[in-house]
Amino acid sequence: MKQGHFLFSMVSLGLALLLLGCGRDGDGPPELKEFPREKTLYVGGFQWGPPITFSPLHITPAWPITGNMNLIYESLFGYNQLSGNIEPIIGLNHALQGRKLTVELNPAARWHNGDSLTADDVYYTFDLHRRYHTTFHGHWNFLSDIQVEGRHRLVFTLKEENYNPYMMLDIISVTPILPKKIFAELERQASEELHGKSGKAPSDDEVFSRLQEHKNDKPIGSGPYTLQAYSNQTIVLSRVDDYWGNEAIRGGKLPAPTYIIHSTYTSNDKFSLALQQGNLDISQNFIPQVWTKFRHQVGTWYDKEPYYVPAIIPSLLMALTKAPFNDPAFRRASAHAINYDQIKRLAMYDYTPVLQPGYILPFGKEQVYFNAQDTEKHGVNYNPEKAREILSQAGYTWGADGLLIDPSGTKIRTLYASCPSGWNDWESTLRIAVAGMRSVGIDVREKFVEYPVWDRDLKTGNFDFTMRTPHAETSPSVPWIRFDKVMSSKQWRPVGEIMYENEGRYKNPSADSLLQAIPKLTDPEAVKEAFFAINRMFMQDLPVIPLMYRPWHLYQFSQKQWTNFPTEQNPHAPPQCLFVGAGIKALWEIRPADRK
Amino acid sequence: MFISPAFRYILRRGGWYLLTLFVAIALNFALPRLGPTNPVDTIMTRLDSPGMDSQEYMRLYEKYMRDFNLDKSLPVQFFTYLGKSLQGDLGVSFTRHPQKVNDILASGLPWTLALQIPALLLGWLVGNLLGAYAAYRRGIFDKGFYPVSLFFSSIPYFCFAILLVYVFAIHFPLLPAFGGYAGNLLPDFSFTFLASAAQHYILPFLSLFLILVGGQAIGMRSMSIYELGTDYVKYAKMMGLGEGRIVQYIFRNAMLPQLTGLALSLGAMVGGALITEIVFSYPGLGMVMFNAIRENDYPVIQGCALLVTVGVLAANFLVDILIGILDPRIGASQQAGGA
Repeated sequence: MKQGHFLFSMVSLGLALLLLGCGRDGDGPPELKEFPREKTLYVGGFQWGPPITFSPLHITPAWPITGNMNLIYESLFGYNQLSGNIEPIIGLNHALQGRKLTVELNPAARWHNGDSLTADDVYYTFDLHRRYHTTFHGHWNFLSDIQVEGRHRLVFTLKEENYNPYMMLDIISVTPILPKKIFAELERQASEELHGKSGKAPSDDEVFSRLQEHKNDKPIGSGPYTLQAYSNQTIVLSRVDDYWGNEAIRGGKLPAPTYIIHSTYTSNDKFSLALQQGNLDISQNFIPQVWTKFRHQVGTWYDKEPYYVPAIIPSLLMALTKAPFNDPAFRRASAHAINYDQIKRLAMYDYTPVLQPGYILPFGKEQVYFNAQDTEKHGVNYNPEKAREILSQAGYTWGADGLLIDPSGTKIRTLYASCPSGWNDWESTLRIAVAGMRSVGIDVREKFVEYPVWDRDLKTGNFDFTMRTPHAETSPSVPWIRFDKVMSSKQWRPVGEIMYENEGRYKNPSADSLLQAIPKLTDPEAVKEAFFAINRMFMQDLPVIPLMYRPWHLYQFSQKQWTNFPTEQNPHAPPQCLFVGAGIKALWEIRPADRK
Repeated sequence: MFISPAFRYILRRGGWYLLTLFVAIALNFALPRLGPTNPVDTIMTRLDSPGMDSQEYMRLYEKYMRDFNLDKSLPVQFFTYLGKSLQGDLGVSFTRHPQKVNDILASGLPWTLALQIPALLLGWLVGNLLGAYAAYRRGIFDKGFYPVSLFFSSIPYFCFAILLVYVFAIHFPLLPAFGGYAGNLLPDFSFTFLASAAQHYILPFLSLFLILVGGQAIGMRSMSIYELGTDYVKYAKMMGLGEGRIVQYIFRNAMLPQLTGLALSLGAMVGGALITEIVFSYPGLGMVMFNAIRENDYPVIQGCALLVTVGVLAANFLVDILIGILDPRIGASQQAGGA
């Protein structure tokens, strides 16, 4: 055989197959195929696989449709984690009076097709979530009615029995507003098609399932960017140069990047490498020892510890309905046995300030609710001697093997502390917690399981200890919602059935009534006292063990292509990755690196 | 009725392959379902919105179980899957709903084929040629060649892939570390894109090719050393035949066991190559399968496994036939059996 011919045919075969692959990869409608680096902002960490759909009605739409990113669709307001306030986007202002929340819209707001964005669109969006069981359907647990008052004004009526202005502010700052004209037409088409097929009027569920199949890959939004193209590896947004907000809310400027590209990488190390090499400009992935990347022009909010802005509290949940966790003394002793400083240094690379007892962040907007005296009196710190003392006083003893025996004389079984496998920082945290508890005689072992398994076991209550962040974001309802998610029994279900929050199944009528009362309070002093009280109750009862503080987003950036990113010294926007909530205003401030 | 021995040979082998295929299909169906969770559990992990409660959660859970027919009994699910698979419809992905499995596979398959087929065929050919040549030349060439081949044949694909990334993408940033093409491009037929795809092709290709060359060369070298001691080689040397011609004779005779070996190891090689794709985030079937397994997406796992199974079985079948053609002893034994 002629070897030259063979080699040539093999290389040709490879090339031909690759071309075939190119043809099939991604079925978006791109015209532009190459995006100049100097005009493009590369982001990562919000989309982990190939994009599936851009439908805001789908359970898992691709970036940036999901997760309060105001790039294509916008919400009424955007949350600013630094100020704790919601800032105008489509909404101009909001005012709460009794059960009525009035929202004024910016009259300049319009859709990409030039149509005005009016109160009708806002009403339609919320009503869509009422009629169909979308992921936002739960908003109506807090809403009873919406009234349109003119083209640019709406009044939301809060539910009387579940009155909660905190949640209402969350809702108006995370719900993307959709164009009525387009979605009503999609609804009509779906109904007609289904009717044509079956000959009878389709149910809401059937229409909704059909609506979810619409890929929406040519979205008409109201935001500063639109979907340009996508492939299995990338999602490309291009700037809408006549975006209404440029004039109306951003001082007549254009956002700096012409394109924003989200690259999908499969693991944290790939993100880390891409950021270091300048192939990624914004990332929100866990990078160990992030300070070692600073010499590669990588930056974080703070240029020293804790590097990121702490906002959430990963905690150790316990199965409170069963022994030994139903004994507060046991919980307290467990909490005393954990070396939080070691977690801070070794598991979290000092990305967290020193942990204070309780469930209130002792800084930022929550600082006002932090009571140092209560913390001193009721708080739990790392103190293994104290742990042993508490256990002894409660009647626990230790066997010859050094392991704990409960007050009835029964040896405490081996307990397991679980978290999703592959979450390295969590695994390290659990190892430290387990080592601490073992040192006082609690026979506990780590159990790292696949994420869906962990999630299902969490919700059904099938765990001993498990690690979890009860409210993994920050929003207007914090810190109320953080307590609610671990102390409220309003959705209480027995072990084995699904519980969407308070998975440890804590039940305390005093906590319930306090949690119901707080949102109704209007006097700031009364609110403060109520948070003191619920935090005291938390510290005394320990429904969960707080382990560390952690940022909402692990916001880090590369300054090789772009500069003037928001930082502690230059806080022109909160550290919300340049497009989450109110963080989007940073896009108007960053500059190409060569035009400093 | 007279059936030619060659045809009988093909029929018999084909029958066995069909049976294997059926068992594989059943296993493809059963294995993902043996796990402790189902795809709806995975989908539900992504739910998080203000106001979501347990009741609404359960409602959505049940809706997805119904939508994906997971509320039906396993036999019903199996026969639906079997029936549709036979019609070429691999169903709809659960976690990438409403995307069709056929479309997902079609987007990954060309990348995998473009990577694996040239690597496999070139690796086999080059490895065997080098092995035969080393055996023939001996001396300094063989002394250098043998340990290098041994190194390549012993190192797992993914370890070698990581090593290549470290050396050529991180330590000396000459080539891209991962991906099928540069992040600022979208797939099309432009020169820029093809150049970028070619650049991204080099490391994954080398990671498969070199290991295959190493493995094949070791085997071929041993076979050829055996052949070198045979009378026909001595005779050819005495006749003064050229080096190339003698190596060619050796190659032809030593090739048969190598071909059988290739058929036997095809499955393992394809599996290894899929892991290589994961290391390089190469947008082929390996990545599709990796994502599907991570998300417990039954239809996509089944589709990938079916494709790989059919591919490996078809390749084995072809090699079997090829051996039948190339090795006169197989034909003779069939003829004897059929007489």
